[in-house]
Amino acid sequence: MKTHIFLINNFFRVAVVCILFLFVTSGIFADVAYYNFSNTTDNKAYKQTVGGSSPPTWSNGWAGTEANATDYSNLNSDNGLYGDTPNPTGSNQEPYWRFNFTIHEDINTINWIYMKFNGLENAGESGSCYVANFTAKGWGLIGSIPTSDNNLIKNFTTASEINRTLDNVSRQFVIMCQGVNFDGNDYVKADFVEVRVAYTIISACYTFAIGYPAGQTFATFETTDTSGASNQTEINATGQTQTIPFYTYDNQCASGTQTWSMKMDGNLNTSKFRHKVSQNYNGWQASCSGDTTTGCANVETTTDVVINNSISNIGTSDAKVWAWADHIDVFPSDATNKTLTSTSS
Amino acid sequence: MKKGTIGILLPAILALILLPLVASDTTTTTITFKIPVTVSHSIAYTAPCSSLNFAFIETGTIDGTQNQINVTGSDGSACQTQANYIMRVTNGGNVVIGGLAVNFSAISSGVTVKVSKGTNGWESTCTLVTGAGNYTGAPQTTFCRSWNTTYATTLANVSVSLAVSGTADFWLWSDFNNFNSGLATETNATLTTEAKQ
Repeated sequence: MKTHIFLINNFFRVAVVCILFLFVTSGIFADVAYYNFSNTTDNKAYKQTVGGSSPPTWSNGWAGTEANATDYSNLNSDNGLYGDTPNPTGSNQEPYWRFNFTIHEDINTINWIYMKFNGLENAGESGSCYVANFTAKGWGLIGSIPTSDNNLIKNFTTASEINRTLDNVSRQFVIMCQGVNFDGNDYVKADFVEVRVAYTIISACYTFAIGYPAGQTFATFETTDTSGASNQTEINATGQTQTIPFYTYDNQCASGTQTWSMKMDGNLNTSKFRHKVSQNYNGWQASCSGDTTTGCANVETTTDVVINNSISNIGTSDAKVWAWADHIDVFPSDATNKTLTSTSS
Repeated sequence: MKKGTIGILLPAILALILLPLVASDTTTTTITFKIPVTVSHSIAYTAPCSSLNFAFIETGTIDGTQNQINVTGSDGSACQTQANYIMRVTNGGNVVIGGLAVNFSAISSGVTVKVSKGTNGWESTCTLVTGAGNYTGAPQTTFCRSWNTTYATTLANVSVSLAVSGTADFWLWSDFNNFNSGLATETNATLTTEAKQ
């Protein structure tokens, strides 16, 4: 019997592995991102002692003073330590905490957004939590603030909920917890606030191939000025002509566009050589503009230079690049080799 | 297999599965910035001499014997003097000329041709006498190299280490020693210069 259980157990585990394998190799799997105040660069909290109305209007929900270091330290875990109390200075006020989270996931890949407010309010009056509705420019009610240290949780699962609560421009997801008609000793206490974002990862295809002119396997820039020091500009890579680019980039994926970047394995000695690339044969410039569609870009360092950021999938036109070198007072002993790396992303 | 084995393997298998999930692909191209080696030189002559107007003519008593005959034009007009070299060689390539050698298509019996880099370089017997092949050393301003009828066609250095765009000046003389038994004659030969890296 014990052996039997063992086999079932292992069968289950192997099955999990197989399922995961299929899931991953299909290029799609899910993950959850956690946002809280352990990161106060992307996530900010604000406290306001005097609110304008309840429920809040869109415009009066954006005031407040940013939390200080102690507030953030207390807010980043559910441990009974609270952020400072924004209790009102007078009577019948609407003090609030507002929590702004910067969400990094692509909104189109998000499956759900979960929010949790952990804390309490102690007033005889009530308090409520809201989430910013960026579509309607308003504050959507989530529920009442607990009257003892407890959770208020909401999960946004539909596309419409996600699209209106996450601003696709500012990347903000914003929670507000506000007291109503609070007096001097009434307060909203926040212990821990968290947002979780479940999203789908689609592993994109980045396969590509680089082609060269017939007979070429590497780029040679050979000067024809050999009378003394060589001073020659716009030296074509060997094999390159007006109609034959030196590099041809073929996106080999079935869908999606790719970005093509180039860099060198080390810095080129630009007092002797310049290396320029363009998407058109007439793109050489004495001083490159950086725009490879109309002019040229220098690829001379270990920093990636974007050459073309919209190369379509297989079966469509390949991206083309012409390359040149300028030689500045150089002799045969100055000849040098570099390795140029093309990267897709 | 122990019960815990799969549990240990699972993360490792997952890690291997996840490896292909890279966000980019790369390929490399070797780039060569190349300046071909060009060894080149040119020769300028003191006028009115030229590559086709270049003669050693005995003067004074015509007996076939005279030392240190300067280069003149075919009609005897003066070219090489104490102050004026007859040939100026310029390195027109892009590498140092390691050896500039000279030979002749022929030299008549009784004639010795001498080359120096200075107006005072003539010697009755040159420091460097061309033998059976001689790329060692080169005449300088105070001494000469000589060719005679036996080794006329042998290439031998007249200069070493001539920098890019640099120049070297040469004086040439002939010594006649009972040339053609002192009877009037005229023979032609070709002087060839060869530059090597």
